[in-house]
Amino acid sequence: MTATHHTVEELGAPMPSPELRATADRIVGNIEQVIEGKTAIVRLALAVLLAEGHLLIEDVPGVGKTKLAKALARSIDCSVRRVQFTPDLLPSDVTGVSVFNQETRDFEFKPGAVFANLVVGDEINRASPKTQSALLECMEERQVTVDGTTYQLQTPFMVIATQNPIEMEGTYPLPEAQRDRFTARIAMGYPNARAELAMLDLHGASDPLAALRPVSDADTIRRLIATVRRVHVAEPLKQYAVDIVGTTREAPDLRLGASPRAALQLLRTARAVAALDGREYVTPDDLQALVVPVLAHRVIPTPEAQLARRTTDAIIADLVHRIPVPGDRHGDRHTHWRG
Amino acid sequence: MSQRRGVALVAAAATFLATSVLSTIFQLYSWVLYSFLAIAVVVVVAILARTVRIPVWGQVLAMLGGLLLLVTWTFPSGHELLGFLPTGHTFRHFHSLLTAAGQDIQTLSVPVPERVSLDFLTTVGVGLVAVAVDVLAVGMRHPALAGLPLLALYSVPVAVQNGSVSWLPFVLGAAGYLWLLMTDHIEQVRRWGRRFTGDGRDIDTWEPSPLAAAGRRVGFAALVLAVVVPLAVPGFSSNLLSRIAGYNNGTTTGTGTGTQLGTSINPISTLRGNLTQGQPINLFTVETDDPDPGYLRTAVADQITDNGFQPSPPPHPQPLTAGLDAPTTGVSVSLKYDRYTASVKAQRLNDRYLPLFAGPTQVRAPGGTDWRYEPSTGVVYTDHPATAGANWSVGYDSFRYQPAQLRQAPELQPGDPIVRDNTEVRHIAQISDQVDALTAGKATEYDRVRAILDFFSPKNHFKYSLQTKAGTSGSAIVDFLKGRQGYCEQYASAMAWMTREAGIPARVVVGYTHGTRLGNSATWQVTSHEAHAWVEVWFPAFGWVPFDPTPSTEITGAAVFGWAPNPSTPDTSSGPADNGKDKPGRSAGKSADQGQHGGPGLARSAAAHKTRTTTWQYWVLGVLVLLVLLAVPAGRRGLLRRRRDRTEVRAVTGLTVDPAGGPPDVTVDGGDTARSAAARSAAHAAWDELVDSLVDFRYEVIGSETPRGTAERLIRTPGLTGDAADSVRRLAEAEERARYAPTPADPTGLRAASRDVRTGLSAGVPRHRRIAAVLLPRSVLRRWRGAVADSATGLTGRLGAARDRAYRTVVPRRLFGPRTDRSA
Repeated sequence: MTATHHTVEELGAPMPSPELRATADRIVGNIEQVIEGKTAIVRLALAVLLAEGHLLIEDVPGVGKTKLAKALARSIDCSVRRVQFTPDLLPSDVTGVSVFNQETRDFEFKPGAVFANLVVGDEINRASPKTQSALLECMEERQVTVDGTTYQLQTPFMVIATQNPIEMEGTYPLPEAQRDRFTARIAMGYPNARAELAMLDLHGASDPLAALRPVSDADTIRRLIATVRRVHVAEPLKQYAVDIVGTTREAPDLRLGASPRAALQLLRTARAVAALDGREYVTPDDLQALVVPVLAHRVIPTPEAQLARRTTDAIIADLVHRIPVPGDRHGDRHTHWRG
Repeated sequence: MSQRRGVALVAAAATFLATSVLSTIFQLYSWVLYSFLAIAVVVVVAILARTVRIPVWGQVLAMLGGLLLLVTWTFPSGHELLGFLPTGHTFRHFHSLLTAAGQDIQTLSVPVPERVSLDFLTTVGVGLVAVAVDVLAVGMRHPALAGLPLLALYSVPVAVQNGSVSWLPFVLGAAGYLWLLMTDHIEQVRRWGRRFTGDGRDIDTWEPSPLAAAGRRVGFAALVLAVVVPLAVPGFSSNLLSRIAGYNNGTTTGTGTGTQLGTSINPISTLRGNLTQGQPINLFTVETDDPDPGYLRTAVADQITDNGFQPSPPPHPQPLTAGLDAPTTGVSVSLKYDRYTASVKAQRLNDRYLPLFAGPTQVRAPGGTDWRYEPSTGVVYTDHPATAGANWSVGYDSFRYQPAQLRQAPELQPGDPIVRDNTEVRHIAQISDQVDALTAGKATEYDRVRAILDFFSPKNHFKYSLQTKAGTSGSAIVDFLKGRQGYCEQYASAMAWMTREAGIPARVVVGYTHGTRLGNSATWQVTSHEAHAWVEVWFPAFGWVPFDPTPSTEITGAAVFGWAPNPSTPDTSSGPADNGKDKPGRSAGKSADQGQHGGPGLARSAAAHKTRTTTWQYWVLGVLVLLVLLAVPAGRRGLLRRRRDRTEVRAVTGLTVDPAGGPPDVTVDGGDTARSAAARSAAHAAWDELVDSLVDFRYEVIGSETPRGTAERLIRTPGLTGDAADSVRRLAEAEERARYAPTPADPTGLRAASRDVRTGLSAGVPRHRRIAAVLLPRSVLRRWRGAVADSATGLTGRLGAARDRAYRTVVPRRLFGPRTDRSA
């Protein structure tokens, strides 16, 4: 919630809707030079950035998790750090460390990997829980405290972590608390046949990532964030978000439902999606589209549901179909004679 | 599994309980044995068939086979193999039994005596019902449907008997049916596992579940209501709404009683008595080309006694075969008449008199006995009851007497034998004074008779009753004239007596009214309740003219004589008389003094015409009302659409009034300006219209779908294209902005878009659904249904809350003070 530390003035003037859309389309188009046929996922990644959230990309190896993270980072002209998580990675490698400077005869802070606009954490589940939890404070509070001194992180700040769900040997699965800090989890999915073919041609000759030029910068992103914050959310939609989150807590298939933070991040991401769509208001469609990526990784299914091989994605998607859309005028009208 | 043996046995028992209703149509109890045998054979065969796992159709065949063997054994023709295997003889025998049963049903009255043919019919019928019940309840596992064959069984006596059926068989049958339902349900629950109470205790197989107590209570209450409510409602039970009977069952020389096969009428007319009226018994039907038949005469009581009149021995009997005297002999040529033919079919009538219309010209009497004819009375009779099951026909002249003509009748000649024989009377001073007072100043015979007839009017406190008042005068006629209540016999006897007292020849005629017309046919049904007595008065040159002093409001099929309006009709001199009970064709009587030009014949046709007109008008009116009712939902739908269109117009004009864009600074709720609120409601209205159209055309309406989602779905599945697709997107966006955006969309053109979408939607459904959407829009119907359900729920909720409040206020414990255990 440190996002509120930055006032609108600090972030810059909000951007008019068409300009925002053009900028967003530019970034998406740029990334799509590298990642073929994954527009929805690319847009979602951008939306998470604009919603001041963090992204967890989870999929089997080789589908372009890291490439997406790097492409996003490269498209924006801002500081980017990449951390390869390994079992021997230390917390100080992430946050930074104070070292004694012989010349000044004083401790000097050497910033860690998180001191950047975009932090790409590769294979995050391979690091020890100690190191993983070092990320906690950074991600949520956007600050780092080392030796009693607190250092503010920059804005925008986004952690893009990837993890591989298949190869679980020698890994430390992310604890619940840490998973909850990721705004959205997305699965890349295999590309379709055409995209895969195009990819073979494109990547066969050279590395397109190297040729990627930034199309935006940190200032622009800050202005985009300011714009997203001003997107209108009608009262019934706030209730709708609360309803959705509340339903996950009562669902018989779920052992653990979504947290209040989930509702907050759901709405925030919905604002970003609406803005990317060129709208100045959120619709329930935005929320419905985000429910699975934003909520599914935060809930824990019951053993029965696991036995029945019901994934959390499916359970959450089902739940949404049971909640009437706010302001819906089909359901409640029949109680009046006059209609 | 036990192949549902328990249910099969209970189904058999329920069928057997339902047969108890047969007790109302049989005199004896042989049907119990046959019913039991039939049901037992069917259920045993069914259980055996299920034990060897025969499919349902095989079970039916097996049961029918078992039933066939049973009837072969119990109703043998004597040519069976081994006594129970049917042969061709057997089936011919069955055929003859069925034919005989058909005849018995025609001729016998309820309750019927024991007959082999009827027992056969009972066995087969009950057996078939048992088969149907077993197949439905056990084979097809729909015990609720088994109520239909049971109901069919129950409806047999209801159809046969004219009156109501006793409540006891109904209760037995209904209880059996409920038992069957309960057993089946318990069995179904047990298939799921153990039954247990709410607090977890197990329940034995035979034990009723406490959880189902409410169901049992509902069943019991329904049964009690079904029995008690009809008793309280008059008209459901003939006991509470007794009607007239001319049928004499109690007083003097006993003739037919309701329980015997044949029924006849007592030709003795008494001045005192009481009429015990049983169920009406169908005596005979009359088919006649006379549109407005009069009364059927059987006997003439012309000999006066202290108590009334009785038939005198026929002075000049002659064989019927010798022919009849023409009714027109000695009658003034100016008297108009119509010639009709009637054929009578006896049902339960068995009498020694033939019921015939007045003025018979030709009688084709049933054979088997020598019928005789008495010219002075016009009665055809024999010496023993001989009309059972017989048919006869009569040609007759129906005279149209008119008051003006009757007034001009010649003076009575004292020497005339008719006058001499029919004016004999016992003089009683009070009666003489009364008659003198009535006839004083009346110039003609007709006016004197009318004076006496009109005396029996409700204005003089005469009323119809099945019982006369007891008197102390020692004279029956004086008692009646004092008590002034009685039935037709008293009225007819008293009038004949008083007419004779005035020196005018009169006699009492006993017979029947024409009864009730069957549908619109030319056939009339006469029952024992239509027996009647009336008066004939002799007019020289006119013959015997009928008069009916009994209040016609109480008589089914009372004739209205144009020359002698019934004294009970409210106003005898103006317009058509209304005597309530009659068919419309007869209710329009003819006033006495109108006879100058028209006469009854004319009046009849006018009345009939009028009736047809009114019936026609009622039909048209009914159809119109029906059409209007059917059109209500469609009208409601059109009204809604128009109102929604107006919403858009309002929003759009609100915009154009203020083109500069300076919104009127009126903020409605939510901080909206009036202008954007109008635009929002226009979008909502257009969207509502779309949703209603979806419901009308039976497209799915999904509550968790967003407007945008609905639009995309409609473009996908009914395949909206072109303008319709653009329009539905337009509507969705407008609705979306109206709901969620700070500023609503421009409302212009929403109405056109709405129309486009509706056209597109209607193109995607079959024609019959399109028609249904226009004629009976589901959106309206569903909303009404929902509103009804909600109102009902709300009402029950409020009632429950009120009850709870009442309980809180009036706590029984508080009334009786603190409980002992608490104070201890």
